[in-house]
Amino acid sequence: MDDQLYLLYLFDQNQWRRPLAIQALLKGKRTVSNLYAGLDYDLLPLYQLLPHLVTAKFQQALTQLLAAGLLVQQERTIRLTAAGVAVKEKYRNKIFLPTYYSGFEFHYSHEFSDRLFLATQVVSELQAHNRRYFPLNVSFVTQQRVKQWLQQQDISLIAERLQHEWELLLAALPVAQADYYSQFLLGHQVERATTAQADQLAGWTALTGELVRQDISHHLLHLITTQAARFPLMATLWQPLASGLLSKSAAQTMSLLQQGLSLSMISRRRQVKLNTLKEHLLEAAILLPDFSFNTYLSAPARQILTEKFAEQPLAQWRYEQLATTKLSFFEFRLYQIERRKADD
Amino acid sequence: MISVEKIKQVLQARFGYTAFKPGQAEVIQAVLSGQDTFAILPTGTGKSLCYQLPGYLLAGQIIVISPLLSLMQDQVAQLHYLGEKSVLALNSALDPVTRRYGLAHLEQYKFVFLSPEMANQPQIRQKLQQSQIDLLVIDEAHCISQWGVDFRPDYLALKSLRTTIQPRATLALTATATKRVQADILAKLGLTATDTKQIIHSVDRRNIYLATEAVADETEKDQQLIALCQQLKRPGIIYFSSRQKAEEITVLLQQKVTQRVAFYHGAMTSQDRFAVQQQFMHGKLEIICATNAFGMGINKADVRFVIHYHLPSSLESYLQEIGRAGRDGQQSIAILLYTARDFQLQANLVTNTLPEAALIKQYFAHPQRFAAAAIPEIDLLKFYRQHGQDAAAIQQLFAKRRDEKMLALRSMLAFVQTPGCKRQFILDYFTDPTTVIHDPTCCDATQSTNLAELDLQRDPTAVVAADQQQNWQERLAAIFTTSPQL
Repeated sequence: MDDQLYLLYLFDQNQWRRPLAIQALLKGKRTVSNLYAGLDYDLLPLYQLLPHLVTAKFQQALTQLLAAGLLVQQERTIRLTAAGVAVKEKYRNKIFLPTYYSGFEFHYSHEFSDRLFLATQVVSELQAHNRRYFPLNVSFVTQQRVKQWLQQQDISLIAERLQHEWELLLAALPVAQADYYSQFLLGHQVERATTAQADQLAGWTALTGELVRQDISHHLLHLITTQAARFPLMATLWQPLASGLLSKSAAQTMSLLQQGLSLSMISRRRQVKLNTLKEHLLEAAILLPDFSFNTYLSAPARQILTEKFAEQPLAQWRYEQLATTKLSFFEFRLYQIERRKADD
Repeated sequence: MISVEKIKQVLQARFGYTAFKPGQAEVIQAVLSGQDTFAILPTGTGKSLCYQLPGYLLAGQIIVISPLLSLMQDQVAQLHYLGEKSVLALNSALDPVTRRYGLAHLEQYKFVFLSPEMANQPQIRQKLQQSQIDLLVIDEAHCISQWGVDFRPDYLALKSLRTTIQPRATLALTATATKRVQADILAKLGLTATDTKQIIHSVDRRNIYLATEAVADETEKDQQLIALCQQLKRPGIIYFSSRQKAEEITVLLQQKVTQRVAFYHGAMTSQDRFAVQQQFMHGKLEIICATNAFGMGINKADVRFVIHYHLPSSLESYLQEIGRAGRDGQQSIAILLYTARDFQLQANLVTNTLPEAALIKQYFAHPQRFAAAAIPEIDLLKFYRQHGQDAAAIQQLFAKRRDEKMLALRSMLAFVQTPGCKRQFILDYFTDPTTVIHDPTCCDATQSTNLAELDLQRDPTAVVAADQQQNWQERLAAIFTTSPQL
């Protein structure tokens, strides 16, 4: 199975999509334009799925698929050809597609894996009464957090409890995934595998391996957060990393707005440009399920927008069509987001 | 004055050794008495102990300037392994939070490792100035001369660092330095030959047999490599100049020789690098296909062979790399495979890290255009420009540097081609006064390599049991149901 075929699953036969926006989304570049593309293409959850994606490789894969006639290009957009759809169907059962991955919900999943694997190693060595070992190579902050976490636990019971939680977790995975993921465990006289070794053993390509790892770690986090009572140790390890869907700065803006401050007041207080604050609002409009569009879109503005775009498919809307009105790009985009979300 | 008994007591209690390796005691006593010291100790003889041990007998801090990120990580890991918690490493790989925290609490750490770039940051210098520094260590000090001009201009500022922080003693450590490089190290650190205690041991590692083998082309090289890996006692390390080649050969060896082989290079994640090191240390891997990112701090005693698949860039690098073999004192072997094309390949690699004349000109004409460029060559030019050098001076500097690098590479070629004793050739190059008694265990100058006689032949009937593939339940059980260590 060639890695580049995965790209077919990111494109559509009817919708022209911008590959650059998809690439940026996969790498976790959080701009309103990328996020809107994610919303529009129904790819939002894939945010930050492949943070180390190499641009040249992505481009090369696109070129190959275009040359093979599976994709077709029109200016800066691409869509699937009928042949592309056929290949996509043919490989549907052979290619791994993440199902649990949720890029915004578990933004710090990598950091969590580091903590969990280090904690497991430390507990294992503790159990063996061994103090001389090389701890997993993780950031200083991670080391400190694991140390603090450990100090809060009952050491006499921790090994048994952590083992139990791991058993519950891995038992919830398909066996092949559980065996694969357990290769990365390390402890007293137990070495972890490299990703290349584990992929080889499972018979997966590097991309499949990466997609599987991402999906597993989000699957596990989904279990840990929705059933915290069954995973008390892991839940406390995750808890400090839990964040909302929004970026830190956008979340701060939203919180101040909720406290009743106006955008210009926030701009002055936070020393942040008005336009940046509007981008925060657009980010919130895209990501939050309960965003209040009415608060930021006046009735007259909404009326103009509704009339202007009534007969037009969303993909063809252009801000330039509003040249004769006084409406801002912010209002245009906000309305577009609202309508796009209503379509789903 | 700290007594020898006291020093030995720490050696045993902290490090678990009963005796010093040659040179260690001398260096430790010198730095403990506040003496600036320059030590050349052969690879694999425990240079780190020379600053680790004094750390437990001196009240102030130990600052270690370490040239390579991978080396620094290994050194920090070693201290952690020994149970030392008061260790801080500040380098470019740190996340901002950690860096801020480390900087704010710098004076609380016993051992502080710094990259040369970090050591030059004003806020760090200011912090160090306020601290009591009992020992400033320049590790792999040959980098001052070998790399200082092209990759690491920040090394040039170490002299002013010494003046600023006023350490009680300075210790420059290396395993390889010609007379010229030795003088260069002293000068660049602002040390003088008369006031500095120089402890120089022979660079020779007598238990490493030296061999070179010419092959017609890459195909023959691969075949020969496979044959060697089948015949030689393991574990072993194979060095490459290219990451891609290291990966390709790993696959080849997995098919033809053993499953217990893995690659290691700087483009891997730190966790994957950790995994390879851990497996190698615990004997789960028998062969590593590595670039030079592997191993300045690798402390595995029983490595039996080091093979060079590509020509090293200098005799210094060669000696550093083969020095990972035979740290247990047992007979080991270094084999360099080469084709006629290898010299040119390495020559391209050696020189293309230096900025071309045209780039230098362009940069100096419009430095602002390069403001956002993240290219090492530009960083280098930026550094020199900030230090008041002009385009012509720099061009001259790099032209000279290119010549020197080519010279170093040619000496590597001369080593390969020498009809005489290879060991003697190396010693002469480093102006080491030792005279070699050439015999069949020395090198392949007078006879072809006989692995059986060297006791380096792998028992052909020896079968390494394949790793039992564990399912997840078994792995979990192995992690958590451990029997306490005795």
